[in-house]
Amino acid sequence: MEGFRKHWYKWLSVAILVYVIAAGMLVPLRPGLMKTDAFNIQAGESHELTVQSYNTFYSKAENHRAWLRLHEEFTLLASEVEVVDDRHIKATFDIPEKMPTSERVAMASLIVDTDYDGSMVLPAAVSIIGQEGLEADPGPWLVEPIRDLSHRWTWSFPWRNILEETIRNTYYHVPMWFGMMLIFLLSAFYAVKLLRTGDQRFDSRVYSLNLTGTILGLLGIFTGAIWARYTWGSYWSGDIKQDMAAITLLIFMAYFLLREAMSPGVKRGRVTAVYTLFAFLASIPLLYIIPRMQPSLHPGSGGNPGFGGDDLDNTMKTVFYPAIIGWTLFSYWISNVVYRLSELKRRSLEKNYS
Amino acid sequence: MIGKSIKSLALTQQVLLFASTYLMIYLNPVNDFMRSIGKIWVVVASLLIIFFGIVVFLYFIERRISKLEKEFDNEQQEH
Amino acid sequence: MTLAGFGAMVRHEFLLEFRHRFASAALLVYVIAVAFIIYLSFASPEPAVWNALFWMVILFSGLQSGTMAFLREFGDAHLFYYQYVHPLSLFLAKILSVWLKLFMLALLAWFVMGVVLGNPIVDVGMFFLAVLLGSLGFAVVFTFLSAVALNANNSGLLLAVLGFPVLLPVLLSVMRLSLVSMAVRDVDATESFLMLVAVVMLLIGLGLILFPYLWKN
Repeated sequence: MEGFRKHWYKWLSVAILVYVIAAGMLVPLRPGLMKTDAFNIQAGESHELTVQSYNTFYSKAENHRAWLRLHEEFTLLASEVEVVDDRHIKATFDIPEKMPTSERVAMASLIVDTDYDGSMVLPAAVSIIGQEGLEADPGPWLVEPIRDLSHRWTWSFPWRNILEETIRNTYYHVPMWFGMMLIFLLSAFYAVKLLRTGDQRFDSRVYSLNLTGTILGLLGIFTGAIWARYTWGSYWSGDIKQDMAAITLLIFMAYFLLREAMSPGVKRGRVTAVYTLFAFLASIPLLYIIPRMQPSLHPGSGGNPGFGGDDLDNTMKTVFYPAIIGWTLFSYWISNVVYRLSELKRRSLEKNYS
Repeated sequence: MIGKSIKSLALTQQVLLFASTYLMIYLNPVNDFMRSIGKIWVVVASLLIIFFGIVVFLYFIERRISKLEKEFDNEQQEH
Repeated sequence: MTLAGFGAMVRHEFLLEFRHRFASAALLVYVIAVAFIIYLSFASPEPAVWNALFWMVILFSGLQSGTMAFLREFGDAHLFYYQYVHPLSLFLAKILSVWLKLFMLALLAWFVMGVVLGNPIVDVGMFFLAVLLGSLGFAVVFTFLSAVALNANNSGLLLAVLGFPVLLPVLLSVMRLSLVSMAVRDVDATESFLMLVAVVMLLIGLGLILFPYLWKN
């Protein structure tokens, strides 16, 4: 019982992390459309689109429908939908001769609805090219509006086109940053305590928390870089959040350099605590204000898919919030181990000098 | 007349631009290992990075403990 | 709280500056030389490049002046300060002297770069303001961190390592404001100005709160 009261947060973090890894990896993605086999469709022609999709079960559904949609309001129902296999359908569209608006080229999104998988959207699926010299006629595009969409609730994560399965990184990459921020906040708190009381144990606290926070930051950078390689195209994409994260790590690496450059003692504790506070607080504009003033490639900002806004849906929240708590408690455990070690070292030094 | 041809030129450019991007992304898909099965291996790689990060950290801690042990043993011998 | 000895400290700073006038003269020559090197390698840079190069020149002069703020005097002088001067008046006097020096260096760099590279600044008043506030921000960061680095060995190098990441908020916001003054980027001028003021105020506030803890033995 005594052990449980002392170690409760460790058990809690392990239990949460087991849940986060199991649920985060095992819960399937919602069905979604991956791509079509065409990119240009001439107006006035009939066109058969082969649609490739992900996690769908077309053969289990009885009713298949597909639409092309222009500018949210103009829709065109497919005249025929043929199931190829579970992951492929062929939809035939008879495109009217006249475009619904005066523009000659329009990007249409594709919407597929089945009574088993529910409705799926592929934005900017094809571009429709109108003929020259024809007037606009929205008429045929308003005949079949999208209605009676089927919906089937399953415990699943949303499908996003470029993200695909990497949407699960929300539970492993993103909490590294949240954890890092919380750990550094705690470290600043102990730095204040050290300056106010002069108790040298707080120096070990600040050191251990800074070390843990830096490790979390490094893991965040590496996981982010490998993710960026396969979604944005390169490991370092000049994204503002990536740059700011690197700068934060530079600040805390400077802390370790400063600590190494001084001899152990009361003075080192005070000076490094002052630097921690100065650097942490001075980097607040860097981390919280500047990234919000500039566009970022990150999901959730600037119309990108993924984290934040509409994209962090309720199903994801059931894993994402525990993930933040779990990873933070786990890293607090790690920092406690480092703390006890550096306390031992400090005490043995103290004993030798006295 | 000139205005119209410029317009259609711009249109052709637009179509070509879209077509080339489309060709790049869809018709020559990069089907490497990491992108297979909906890029799930990227998530696996992230988890492995975190795991090995913790392993490296454990190694680092163990070395510091060995150092402390050695210091402790030396002190015992001196007494 | 009285700032005991602030006036005396300021006078002392300027005396010290006069005594080390060759160091300051070296900085002047450095600024002129760098401006000339930029001219030889770039001929006529774009306004954005001009801006970046200008602030790099100021950055390195700031690093040098910051190093001089605390690191040029040794033990005895510091002991004297500990005993007779309130830490904040010491800090403020140092900031004042570094700020003035940096500001003049920046004006000189502006003049020299304007002569040899051409002057891309459209709104002179705003750029002047940016230089004034930017050099204040640089002075605060480098003076404070110079006092931090004083405690460690190899402090000159350490100052650069400690300083650059902390300096980035000032650097980014001041470069933004001076880009506005060159009318190259369509950014809200008031917002950039307030951002810079907020960052500099934050740094000054932090410096004033934390410096007494640093200056204690």
